[in-house]
Amino acid sequence: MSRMANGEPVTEQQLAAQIIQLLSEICQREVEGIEMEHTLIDDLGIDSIQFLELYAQLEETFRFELDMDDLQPERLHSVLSLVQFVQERMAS
Amino acid sequence: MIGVQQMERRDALARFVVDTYPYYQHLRGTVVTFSELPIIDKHTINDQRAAFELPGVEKVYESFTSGSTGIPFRCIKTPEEQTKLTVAIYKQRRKWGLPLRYQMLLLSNRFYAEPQMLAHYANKIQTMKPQMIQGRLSQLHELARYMTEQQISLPPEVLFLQNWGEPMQPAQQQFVEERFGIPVVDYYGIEEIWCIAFSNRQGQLEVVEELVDLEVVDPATGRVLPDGEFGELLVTSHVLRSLPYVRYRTGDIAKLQRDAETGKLIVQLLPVRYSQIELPGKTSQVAIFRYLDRFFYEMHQKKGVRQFQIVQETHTSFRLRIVGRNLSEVYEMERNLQKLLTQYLGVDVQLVIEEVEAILPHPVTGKYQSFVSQIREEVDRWQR
Repeated sequence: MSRMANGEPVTEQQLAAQIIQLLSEICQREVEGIEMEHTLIDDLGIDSIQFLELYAQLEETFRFELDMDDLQPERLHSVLSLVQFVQERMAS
Repeated sequence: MIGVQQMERRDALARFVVDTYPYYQHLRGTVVTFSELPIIDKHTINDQRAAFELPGVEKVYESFTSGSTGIPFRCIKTPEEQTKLTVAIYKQRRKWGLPLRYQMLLLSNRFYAEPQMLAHYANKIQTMKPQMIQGRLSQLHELARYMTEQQISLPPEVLFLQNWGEPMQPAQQQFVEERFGIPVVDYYGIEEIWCIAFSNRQGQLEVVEELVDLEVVDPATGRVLPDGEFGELLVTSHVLRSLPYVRYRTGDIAKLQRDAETGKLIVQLLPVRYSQIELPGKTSQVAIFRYLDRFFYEMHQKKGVRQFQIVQETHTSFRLRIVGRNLSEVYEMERNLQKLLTQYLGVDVQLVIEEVEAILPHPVTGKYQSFVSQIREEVDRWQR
């Protein structure tokens, strides 16, 4: 279980739901149409500018600051890898 | 000198391209190292386009360039490649304070087309309040001059200015930085593969090694030159696979050096392209690069020189066009320059210095050129 910046515990499912909500706003898709296996670029059609917006949203929503090493799109290949990435960052 | 890790990365790429692209298929079945791969250029790819493109790639963004070579070329990038490149460029800009959400004002190539463009951009900066402004250094210089004259200040939101597509002239850079009170950073790249190097805090042009690998070769023989020697720059992209750029000729003249303290690879470019230099009966022009480096260094040291351009009128006569004040020191070096030029070329040369009000940029690209060869223009005219 991860914790939000305010210390509130958050389950993996809650975290995934939050990230899917965020992705749905960025790529203008229904939440129901986004699955964990979807790739961000090919399946969800997130473009290079939206990728920067995604990074900005992650920092704001989860209150962590991304390092230079975090800014590697290949680390965020799919929705699943994005959830795992956020979990790791929240744990560190 | 390259490290073991870099060599392994290069050789892994060599095996990949040999196994993947038809252009390299003649090398299959042999042990191939990176340095054995052929040097390629726009012509090579244009002539055998299908042998370079990765099969099965459906969606690509495309752009076209003719660049300084004048050869039309179709550049392609998959959405994934474009995202990697965009994020990598952002990372360079982040070092200069750029937030993830930012507004950029891009000065167009039509900047000089109409007199009211300066007022238009000065006004736009006030209303848009961008975090960065990107343009040719000569455009940024004009903007700084105009806004100072009009007593228009730069909004505090603007964090830095970014030059691209034009050699940095220290006198111009200093003028802009003093007027605006923010840094001018430099971007070096080509349309085919985007970013190659970016300014660091030490004022060096640092190679973005996560994206590219660079080599400097003797343009006549293809022999790899040691660090610190000027030659033609070859670039290899570690991102682009839809169309591989491996040992790809940039046409730019540069030298490479690893910074002793930081270990970062630094590229230093000459403000002249290889194809622009026309010399009588020369097979290797590495020596002339050293001369040009010394020449440009001398020019940059002259504080009165705001802008300059060398015009090669014939194989042995050059005109040095200068914009600036207190140019007496340039005239003092006239004889030395002529001697140096003669020494490197091995023939008598004429050098004329001409003071001019302004040096206009290229009408299409908007780029200011430090070196113009009228011999090449003559040849081109005959060939048309």
